[in-house]
Amino acid sequence: MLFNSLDFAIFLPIVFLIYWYLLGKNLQVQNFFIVVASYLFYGWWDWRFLGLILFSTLVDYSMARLLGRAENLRKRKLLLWVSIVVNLGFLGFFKYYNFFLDNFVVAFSFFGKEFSGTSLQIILPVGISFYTFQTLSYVIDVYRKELEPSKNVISFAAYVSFFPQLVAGPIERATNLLPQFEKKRTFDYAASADGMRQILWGLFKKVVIADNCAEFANQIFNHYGDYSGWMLVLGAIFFTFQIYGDFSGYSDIAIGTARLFGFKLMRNFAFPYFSRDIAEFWRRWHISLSTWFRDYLYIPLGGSRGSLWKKIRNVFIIFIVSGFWHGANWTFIAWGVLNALFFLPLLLSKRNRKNLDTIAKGRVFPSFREWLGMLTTFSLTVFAWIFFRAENLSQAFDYVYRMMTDLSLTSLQTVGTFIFHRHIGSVLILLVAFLLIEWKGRGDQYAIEQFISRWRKPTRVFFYYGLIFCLFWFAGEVQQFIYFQF
Amino acid sequence: MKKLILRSLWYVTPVVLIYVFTICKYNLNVGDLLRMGYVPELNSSYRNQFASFDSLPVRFDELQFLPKKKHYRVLTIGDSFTGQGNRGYKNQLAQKESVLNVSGVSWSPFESLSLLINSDFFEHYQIDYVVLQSVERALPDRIETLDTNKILLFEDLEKKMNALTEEDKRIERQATLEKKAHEHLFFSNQSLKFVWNTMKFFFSSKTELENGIQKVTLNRDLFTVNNRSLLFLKDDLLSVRYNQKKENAEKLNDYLNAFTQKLKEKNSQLIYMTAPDKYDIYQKYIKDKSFPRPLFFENFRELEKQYHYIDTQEILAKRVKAGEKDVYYFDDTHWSPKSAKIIAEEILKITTKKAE
Repeated sequence: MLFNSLDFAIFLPIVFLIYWYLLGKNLQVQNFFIVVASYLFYGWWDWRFLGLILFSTLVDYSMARLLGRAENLRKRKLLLWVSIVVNLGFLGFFKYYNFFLDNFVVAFSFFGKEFSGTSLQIILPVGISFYTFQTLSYVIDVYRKELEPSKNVISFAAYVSFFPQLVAGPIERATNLLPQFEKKRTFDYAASADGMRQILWGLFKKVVIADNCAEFANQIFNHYGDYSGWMLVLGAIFFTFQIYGDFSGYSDIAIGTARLFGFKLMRNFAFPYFSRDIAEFWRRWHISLSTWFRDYLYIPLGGSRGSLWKKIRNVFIIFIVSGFWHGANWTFIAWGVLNALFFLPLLLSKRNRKNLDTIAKGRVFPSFREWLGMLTTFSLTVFAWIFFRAENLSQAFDYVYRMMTDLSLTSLQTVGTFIFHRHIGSVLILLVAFLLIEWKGRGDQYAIEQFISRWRKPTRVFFYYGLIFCLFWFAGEVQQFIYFQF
Repeated sequence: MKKLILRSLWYVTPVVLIYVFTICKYNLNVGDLLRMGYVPELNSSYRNQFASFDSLPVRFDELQFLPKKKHYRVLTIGDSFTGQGNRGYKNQLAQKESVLNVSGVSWSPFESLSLLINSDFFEHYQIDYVVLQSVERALPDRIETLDTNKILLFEDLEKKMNALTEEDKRIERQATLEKKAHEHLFFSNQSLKFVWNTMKFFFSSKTELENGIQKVTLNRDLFTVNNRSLLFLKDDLLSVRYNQKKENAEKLNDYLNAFTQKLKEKNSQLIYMTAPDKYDIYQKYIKDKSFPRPLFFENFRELEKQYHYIDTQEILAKRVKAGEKDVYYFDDTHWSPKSAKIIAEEILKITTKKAE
């Protein structure tokens, strides 16, 4: 069920009340209830894939238990590889089978050979990329002896299937989340109220910002041949805000919901569009995924140590795999390659860890240098998102070509006409207001976490009602959460 | 925890109440004007009076499915007034004559006919009468953009019709998904719009509702919902200015005369009718006398015609004047099945007169 649906609006309070009022005293039963509720949540999409998540859970639980008892290195490696093969095998089959088959066919025909394979009508189980990586990280941490294997299958099942973050992250590390299932949770009003506030803000980002931007992004991308260069720039910008509002909004709802149940999930977005360089962007965008790849792929490959060739190789591997994780399409790989090309100069010149603090900390306005950095980084990410959004490489290149070769003043006027005729003034005003609020709260976990609390109560109440009103009045056409397709 | 629940209820309750009110009172299976205007149904049994038309079997053929039959008495080309499923005039006509309906060739009925005339369509199908229909408010766009030189070969027409069938299937699948999504839609402006427009509808005698739906007050009871409101599209008003001009009526007439000549060469006769805007039929009875009088039909009536002309405005306005209710649907921009039946009878008068 979608977070912004009536089903979830009914599901959540019922689960919340049962969780605290009826089961608050018994940890084991409470955890079991989380498993039941999470499976219900997941099965709402498609009950057929419940077996898959259950199987994945049991395999990884068993492998980890065996790893805990095994001392022989060879045996430990074997157990680890069993888990990796099972997890990545499912992921590979459901997500990449047709992609590899189609590309084999093309490759064989290029060499004059015929290769016939049967494409399958495979439905991608929602969230498979997320929970697979989550369980993999658990097994790897146990293998590395950074974590003791869980001895409680219920706690482990709850960790794997925890519904707030099951289908689109954050990809939680077992070291953070699993211990929270193994100790008693007490209701904390302040944390819960903060969670509600974060849910409200996440809904605003998704329902108002993302879905409204999606309408225009889709129109422009789906008919890009009809538009001028500057309109294509506008389309890319709309998509940039669509994907941010969509994904970070979902993460906010997930984190806020988890807090209602006494859990603390990791932060997944830290105002990435205020980044001063691409390295900073990647420290602030989809943090759970980028840190996963850093810890389980980049560092084992050698990271930024070693020869120049090795550094370059590792950067490309990370970004290409990250792109490929998003989907079985060459466009995602191209998006990864682009980001690697943007990142590499910073790494090689050792400027990738220059901007670690909050931009314009303690000041209202950024410096000219910071402005320039933000604008450059934003432009690069907008450009890369074109490849992410395009249906295929041919469309992506054609989009970029048309955009770059038609940036005249006449072309710019078409933007004004579009804005005027399509009455998107209100959307632009909302977008500006949204960015101002995000800027104001850029030092916090989420935009409205702290500065709202300094307002007087009537103002706070008015603001919350204002947000709720916006949720309903400015709700765009319902769009699926983008990251559900991954 | 009680504090959290109470505080949450403080924010959530008004939203839930508005939502519940909306799903109870906002019916999506009503006419387009109520639906688009976000207005509640005034009488849930209003449409029962037309239920007898639903039992009419569908007897017309669609060109979309490329029927094997090669001779039809009547070919119908029009817009949504020609649609209306088994309640529409073409199906009522089809109970007595063989009817082939054309849709999906072009967005404009005039262009559709022009393309068929310029193609080899009439070599594949023998048609005795072509009934061409356009709604009054769409005339400005359709006349100004008409290009009578465009050609469409029959093989391309076949491809278009096959693509239409595929598109229909896709839309049907999408509609099933969207309906499912709509049933679960909680965050939408539908609830707020419904409350706001309901208030406007009941507390204002003259107002503009959502999507440009106009609500005015009549000086007579002309609908069986027992409410002297009239709902119509803003487009009806906007097109009055264009349609007032005599030269625009003449332009249309010239096109129709030209079609008539070309159809004669194909052994076919043209029957033309403009479906009046709902505003046109009821304008006389609006309490507020500031609304402009539509002149299109008056201008058009005087012109010399080489084709069969059905003066729908005269026919239907007479019935309204005589006190007949629901000549048009109260909640829809279209004429009711009763009126569609009268139109079908007028067409029959022409087709059977020739046969005699």
